[in-house]
Amino acid sequence: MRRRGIPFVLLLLALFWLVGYPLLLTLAESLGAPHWTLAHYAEFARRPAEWGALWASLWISIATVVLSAAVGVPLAFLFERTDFPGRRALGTLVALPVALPPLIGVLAFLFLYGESGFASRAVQSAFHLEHPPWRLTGPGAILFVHAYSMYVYFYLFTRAGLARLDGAYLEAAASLGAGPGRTMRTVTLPLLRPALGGAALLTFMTSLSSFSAPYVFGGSFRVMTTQIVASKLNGDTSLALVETVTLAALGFAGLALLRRSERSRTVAGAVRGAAPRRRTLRGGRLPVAGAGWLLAVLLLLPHATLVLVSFVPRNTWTTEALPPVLRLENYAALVATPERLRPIVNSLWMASAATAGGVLLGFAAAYGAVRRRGRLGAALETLVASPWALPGTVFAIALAAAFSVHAPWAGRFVLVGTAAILPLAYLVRSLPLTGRAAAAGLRQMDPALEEAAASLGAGASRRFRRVVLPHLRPALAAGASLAFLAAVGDFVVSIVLYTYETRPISIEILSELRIQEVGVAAAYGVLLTVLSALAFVIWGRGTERVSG
Amino acid sequence: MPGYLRLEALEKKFGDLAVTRGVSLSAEKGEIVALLGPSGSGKTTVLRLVAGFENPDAGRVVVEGEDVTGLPPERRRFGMVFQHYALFPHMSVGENVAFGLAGADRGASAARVAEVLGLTGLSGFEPRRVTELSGGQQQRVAVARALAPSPRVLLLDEPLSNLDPTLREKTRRELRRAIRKIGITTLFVTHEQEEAFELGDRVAVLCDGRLEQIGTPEELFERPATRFVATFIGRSSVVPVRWDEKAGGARIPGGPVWPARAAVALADGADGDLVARPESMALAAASFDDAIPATVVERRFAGRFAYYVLAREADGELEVLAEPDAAREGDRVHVRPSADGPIPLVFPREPRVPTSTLLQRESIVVKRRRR
Repeated sequence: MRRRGIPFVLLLLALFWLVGYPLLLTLAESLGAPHWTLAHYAEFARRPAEWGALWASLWISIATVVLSAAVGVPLAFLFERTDFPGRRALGTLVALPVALPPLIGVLAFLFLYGESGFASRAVQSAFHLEHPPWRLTGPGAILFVHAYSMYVYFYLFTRAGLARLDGAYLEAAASLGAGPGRTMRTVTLPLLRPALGGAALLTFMTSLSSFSAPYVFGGSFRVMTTQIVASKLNGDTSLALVETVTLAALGFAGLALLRRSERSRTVAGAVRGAAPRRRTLRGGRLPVAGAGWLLAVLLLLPHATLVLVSFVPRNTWTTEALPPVLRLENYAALVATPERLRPIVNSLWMASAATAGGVLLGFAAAYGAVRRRGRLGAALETLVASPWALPGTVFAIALAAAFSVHAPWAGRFVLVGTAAILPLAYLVRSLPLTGRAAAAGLRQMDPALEEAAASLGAGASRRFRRVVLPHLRPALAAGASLAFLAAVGDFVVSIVLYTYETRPISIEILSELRIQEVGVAAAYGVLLTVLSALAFVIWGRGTERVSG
Repeated sequence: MPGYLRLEALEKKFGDLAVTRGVSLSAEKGEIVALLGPSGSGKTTVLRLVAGFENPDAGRVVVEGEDVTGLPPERRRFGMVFQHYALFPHMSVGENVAFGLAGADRGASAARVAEVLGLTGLSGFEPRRVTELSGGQQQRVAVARALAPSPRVLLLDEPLSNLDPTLREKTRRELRRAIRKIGITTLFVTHEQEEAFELGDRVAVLCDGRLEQIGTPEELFERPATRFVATFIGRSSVVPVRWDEKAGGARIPGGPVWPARAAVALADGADGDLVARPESMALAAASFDDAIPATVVERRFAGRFAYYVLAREADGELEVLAEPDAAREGDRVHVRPSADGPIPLVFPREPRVPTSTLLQRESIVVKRRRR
C-alpha cells in the first residue's frame, strides 16, 4: 500500500492546481496581492449597484426555489400517486428541461414569449394590437425562465422520495385515524423533507449560478453573475475579482446553511416496504389526463418553437401569425461556410477533450478517495466536489486570473487566449459529475469482488482491468455523458474565456442573434439540443445499469 | 352468524388472480384468531381487507353489528401492527404512540401513552428516537401505538417475523399476555404453525385464497378437514392408496391394507391419499404381513427419538418416528402402522399443484402489493 503514496500525492497536487489554486489566487489578488489592501473591497462596498446585484442574486434565488417547488411538488404527486393514460411517457417528458443547456431554454423562451416571439405575435395579430402585448425583460422574465427549467429538480426529487416512501407509513397513519390531510401534513411531507431539502439546495445553487437567463432577459437588471462579466468586459478586473469572491462566499454560505438545517433534521427513514399503490383515477381520470397532457404541451412548446424557427429562412416571416415558408436553409448555412462550421467543430472537440480528461481525473480522484478514506481522501473529495458548489462564473474568473500570468515557478502559465483554456475550464467544471459518478459506482461495488480476484491470483493491474473497470463502466459512461452535456452546451464559462478562434456554439448563437440571423441561431440551438439529448439517453442507460 | 367481528364471504381479485375466495369467519369479543397459511395463500390480503387498505370485490366486514366494508381505514377504529412496524422515523416514541390520540387533550394523551407503554414494558421511553431502538423494542412500540386509541379490533401482520428466533419466543409470550390483559379481539397473520398455535385461540388455515378450516389447534391437529390442512399442520407423509370398504382401511397398491379412517365419505375402491404422521408408523421386521419395504435415506436425531426418512420401492418418501438406534442411513427396513399412534386419515385423491404455479401466484401477489 505504501507504493500508492506517490501517485496519490501527485493526484492531489494536480487537482489542487486545477481547482483550489485558481480560487486562492483569486482571493489573494482581490486583496491586492502582493501589495495587500482592502481598497478593492471598499470600492465594492461604496457602490449601490454592487449591493443591488448581490441582493438581486439572493432574492431571485429564493423566489426561484419557492416557485419551482410550487410547480414541481404538485406535479410529482400527480405523476407518482395517480395513474392515467400516458402517465409514463409524460412523466419523462416533463423532466426534459433539465437535460438541456440553460441557454437553449432561454433561446426557446425568447422565440416563444419574447417581444417578437410566437406567442406575442399570436396575441398581437389576434387582437390587432399595434405593439407587442408584453416585453420579456427584467426580474419577472428571469424568474419565469428559472421556474420553468428548475421545477424539474423538485419534480424529480419529490418523485424519487415518494417512490421510496414506505406505503405502510401511510396505512399506519390511516389505521390510527388520520385522514388524508393530516397524513400529508404529519407523515408524508416530514418524511419527504430530505428530498425537498435536496431539491431546494440544488435549485438555490443553480439559480445563484444562473447566467444565461439574467444575461439575455435581465436588461439593466443585474445579478452577481452578469455583474461580474460586465465588470470583466469593462476591464475592471479588480472589481470583478471582488465580486467573484463575494459570489463564491454567498454560494458557500447558502450551501453551509442548507446543509446544517439538513443535518439537524436527518431522518434515517429505514425503507423496507413497498410504495403505496397508485390511485387509478376513476371520475377525475379524464380531466387529470387532459391536464397532464396540456401541461406537457405547455412545457414543451418553447422547444417546439425553437425547432419551428430553425426552419424559417431569413426575412420570410414578418407579420404573419404562422411562418409562411419553411426550408432547410439555416441548417445548410451551418455547414456552408467555415466560419459557421467552426463553432460546431470547436464545441465538439473541446467538450470531448474535457470529458475524456474529466473522466480520467474524476475516476482517479474517486478511486483515491474511496480506497484511501482518511483526511487525504476527504481532501480529494472536497476538491473534486467544490466546482459544483461554486457558480461557473466564479471558476471562469478564477481560471482567467490564474492562467493569464507567466510564472512557471509558481505553476502559472499563460493559457488565456490559447485553445487550451476552454477545455481545461470545462474539465474543471465536469469534475464533480465524473468524480461523483465514479465514487458512487465504486462505493456500490462489493470489496469482496476485488478480494476474490486477488485470492484467485490476479495482481493489482489485472484486478483493475478485469474487475474494477468493467464494473464501473456504466457509472463512468453516466458521468461522461453528463460531463459532455455540460461542456457542449456551456455558455457561462465560455463567455469569459473564449476567443474568436475557439468560440463554441453557445457564443455563436449569441452573435447570430445580434446580427438578426434568428433562424441560424435556432438551427444551432436545435443542434445543441440533439447533442444534449443523445448524451442524456446514454446517461439514462448508464444509470439504469448502475442501479439495476 | 353471531360474533363480534365477522368476515362474510370476502372476495378479492388482483387482475385475473383471485387472491381471496369467499373467506368467511367470525371472532368472539376478546378472541385471538390466527390466519395461517403458506406465502401466497392470501392471508395478508384478508387482513388488509379487514383493515380497509383493500376494498373487497364482494363480501362484508362487520364489527359489533356495524358493516364497515365501505369505511376508509381511518374511520374503522381498528389498530394495526405492520410487519416492518412502520414507526414514523421522524417522531419520537411518545409522538408515535400519541399519533392515534389526536383530539384528546394533552394531559389525557400523555397519560394514555404512558399507560400503553407501561403495558408493553417500555415505561419512560417517550423521548427516545424510534431509530435508536432495538428490533424487539420497535415491535413493542408498534403494538403500543396500535393499542393507544383503544381500537375495537387489533390486526397484526406477521408481528414477530422480523425478530431473531430467541427473541421471538419471549416476545410471543409477552404479546399474548398484553392482548389477554386488554381482552381485545385480535386477528393476526403468520406463516409459522408454532406461532399460530401458541398465540391463537383458534387458527384459520388458508390455502390458495380459500379458508380450508378454522378451529382450535387441537381440532386442526386431530381432525384436519382437508388434505391440505392434514399435510400443512405437523409433518406428514402422503401415500397414494385405494379405499377398501370391506377391510375398513387403505390398500397400498401391490401391498397390504393399513388401518385408516376416511376423512370424508369414500366409495369402495376410490383413489385416495393416506396422510400419516411419523408417530402413526413404526419400523418393523419383515415377517409382519402389513409391512412394506423401504430404504433409510436420512436419519435426524431428536433426543429420545429419531426421524427416519424412508424411500419406498414404489415411489415417494415416508417419515417415521422410531428409537434413535433403530436403523442407519442406507439400511433396508420395513414399515408398518404403529400400534399406539393415531390412526391415519384418507382423503380423496387431489391432483398435485405444480410448485411453479404456486410460486407464480406468490410473485403476482407480491408484485401487486408493490405497485
